[in-house]
Amino acid sequence: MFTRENVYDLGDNWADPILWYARGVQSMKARPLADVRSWRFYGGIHGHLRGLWDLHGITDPVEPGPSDEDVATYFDQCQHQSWFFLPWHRGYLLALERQIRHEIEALGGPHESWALPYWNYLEDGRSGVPPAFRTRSWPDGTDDNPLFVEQRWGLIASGPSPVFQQLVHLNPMSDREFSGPGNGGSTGFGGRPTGFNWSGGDNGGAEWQPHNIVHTLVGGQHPSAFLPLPPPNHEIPIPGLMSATSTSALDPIFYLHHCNIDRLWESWNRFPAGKPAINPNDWQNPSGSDWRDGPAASGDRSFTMPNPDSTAWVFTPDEMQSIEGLDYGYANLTPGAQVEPDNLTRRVARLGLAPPRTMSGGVAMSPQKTVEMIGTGEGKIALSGTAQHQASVRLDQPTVDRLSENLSGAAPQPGLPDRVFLNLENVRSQSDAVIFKVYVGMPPGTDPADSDTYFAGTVSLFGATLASDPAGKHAGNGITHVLEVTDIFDRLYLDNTLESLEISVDLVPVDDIPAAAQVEIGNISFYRQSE
Amino acid sequence: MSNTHPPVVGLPQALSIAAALAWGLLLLFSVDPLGALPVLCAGQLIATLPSHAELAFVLGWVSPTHLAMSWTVMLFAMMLPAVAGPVAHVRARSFAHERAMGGLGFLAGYLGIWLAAGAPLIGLAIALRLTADISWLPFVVTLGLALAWQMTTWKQVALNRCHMRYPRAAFGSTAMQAWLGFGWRHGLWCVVSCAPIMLSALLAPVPSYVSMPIAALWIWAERLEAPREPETGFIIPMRAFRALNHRVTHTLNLRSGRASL
Repeated sequence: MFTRENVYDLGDNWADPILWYARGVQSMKARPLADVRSWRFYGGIHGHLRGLWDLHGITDPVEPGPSDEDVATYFDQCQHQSWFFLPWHRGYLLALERQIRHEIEALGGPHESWALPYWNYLEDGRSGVPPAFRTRSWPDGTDDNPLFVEQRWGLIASGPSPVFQQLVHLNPMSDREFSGPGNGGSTGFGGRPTGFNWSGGDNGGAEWQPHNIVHTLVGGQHPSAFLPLPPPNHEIPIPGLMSATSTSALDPIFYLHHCNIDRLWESWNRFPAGKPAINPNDWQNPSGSDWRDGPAASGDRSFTMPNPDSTAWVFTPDEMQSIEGLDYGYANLTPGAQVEPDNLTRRVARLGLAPPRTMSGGVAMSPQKTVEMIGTGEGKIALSGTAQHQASVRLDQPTVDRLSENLSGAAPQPGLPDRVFLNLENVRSQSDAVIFKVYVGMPPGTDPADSDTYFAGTVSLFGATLASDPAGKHAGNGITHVLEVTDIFDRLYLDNTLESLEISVDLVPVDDIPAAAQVEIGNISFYRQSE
Repeated sequence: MSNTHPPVVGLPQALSIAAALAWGLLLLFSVDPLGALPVLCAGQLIATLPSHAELAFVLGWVSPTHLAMSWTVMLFAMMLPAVAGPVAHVRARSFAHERAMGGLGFLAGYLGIWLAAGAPLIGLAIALRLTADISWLPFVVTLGLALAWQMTTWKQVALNRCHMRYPRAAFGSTAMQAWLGFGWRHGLWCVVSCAPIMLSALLAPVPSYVSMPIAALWIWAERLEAPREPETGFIIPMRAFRALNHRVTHTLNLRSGRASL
């Protein structure tokens, strides 16, 4: 059994698991790009963009790349905006660990027990990139630490940030469903059904928070330089390695971050034992063959990783379901921040409704979920600079009436109270390193810093650049961010604010958004989802 | 009762039913053994034209009304199943009480473009048929052109555009205009992508119940492929076949598993 430990609990910045990871990475980095066992090849499995790699000095423009066959089999596989996000990354971590163990064995190290540590940035004082990754030097002072990456320009790249706790949370861990109904409603904890999906579409919960935001907070973007391009873009910001899907897996901290995401998946499945469920499928992975068999069920390419002997390992999400079955475990499944698996009880008390029946009190099967739009905005919104941007969303009277009827418990067929979701539709950008906060229903003149009540969440545009390319694999539709705003709507309902049929949405950039980033939100809308 | 409950027959199902009816009409009218029914396939009508007839005689032989009607039935049969995705998008991004109108607005724009494209496409097919001494020559030439078009980057650009989804951003009539606009934009890229295939299908010297399903299956399979970076080369849309193969294999494995229990 391999145990993944907390990197901050190893006792020393250069404890054995880190030291041997560094040595393994160094060995992999010594291999040519075309070698399927090389560090850069592994980076390419997640995503590659040779021009950006050349710009960062990761590759030389004249260096030969892998064969066409290897590129077709292995490269550009990472699954995003997809219900395969979690199982694909689990398989990816396993493959890298096998390769690192192979390197450790060749170096005479503890290959039989070594496993990647995880980085739980949500614990107090641990939001900074771990110290061994922030120094150019090995413990003996040698100046070529392979864990160090120069292109980390984000807020937590050089240590903990006081704003981290405001930006990162674990709200999606409270979502009982792996995959929600979508179409404006919940995408669930694990994401919506897709085929093989490299980029573009709707973010799943775990991908939105904390995954995307931590990528951006580590990578950031170059503080002053821009990448010149031919028209119509002219120039675009240069992302840090962790900020872009096509470079992120070249940064050694990527794998510790994803071990934490993988740990949160395991925690969502099993921690704490006996957490309340409404339906039998709550806290469970999808059971259908469309998910278990992976994208092959949709006629798409399979998930394939190289083995240390250079042969191919093909895996399915079904094989990734049980971390124990894979002979792995985590030192601690405590999420690291507050997670309330039973928001429902709190809601019915707040709304004055009858208590819901749970699994232990007799199964309360929900009818098929209905999702419908409540309100829509006025179209495209461009976001740049540091200024707060306010948009107005107009609500539809008959739909608001149905929502109010449901929340009051007066619906003809009373069920569980509806949930409400904010959609930031078709978000396109020429920079992935953009973060902004979203507030819903905030009264005019209110300082966002004092408005936790109206805070809907933080959005990172990790992955947006690829998804914005009209010639790319998602036709340039961008990414749609779905944020649950149920609690805020409960308050707006109780305050009778919904009757105005006009709800404000404030977008507050966390940092300066350069105009060259061309951030554009296609539209803002609200959806109700019956439970 | 809430009006958000899905109707027994929603717009996607209605699309399938309309397409199936259109296929039924095409089949019924093209295999009528007694010859009592008028042929209802533009391709088959063109294929029956005499090679050196006068235009007046031609229009007497196949009236423009007859051609327009047959073209409409063909579009319903071949194109409605290809727009299930965009119609679902329109419905999801519409208020519940506007879903049907939104879907119809999209279809009006989409089919409007295709109906308008019928005039030049059928006109060209007739002209090619009349100027060729050998009846199958126009088909061979247009099939060659369609295959060449398939290999261009522009073809992939048009296919990628068929995957574009636009946000909705307005109420009432403005929203309807937006969906109508989405429909005609989608239709335009669809015509750009598929017109060469449709032209060669119009000229195919075989019965319509052979040429039209082949063309339709190709168009549907292409639409199920994911967008990709435009590159020169011939791409066979195999995703649908692979998915079907996976499902058949999965079902057979399940049955054999149950049988062995």
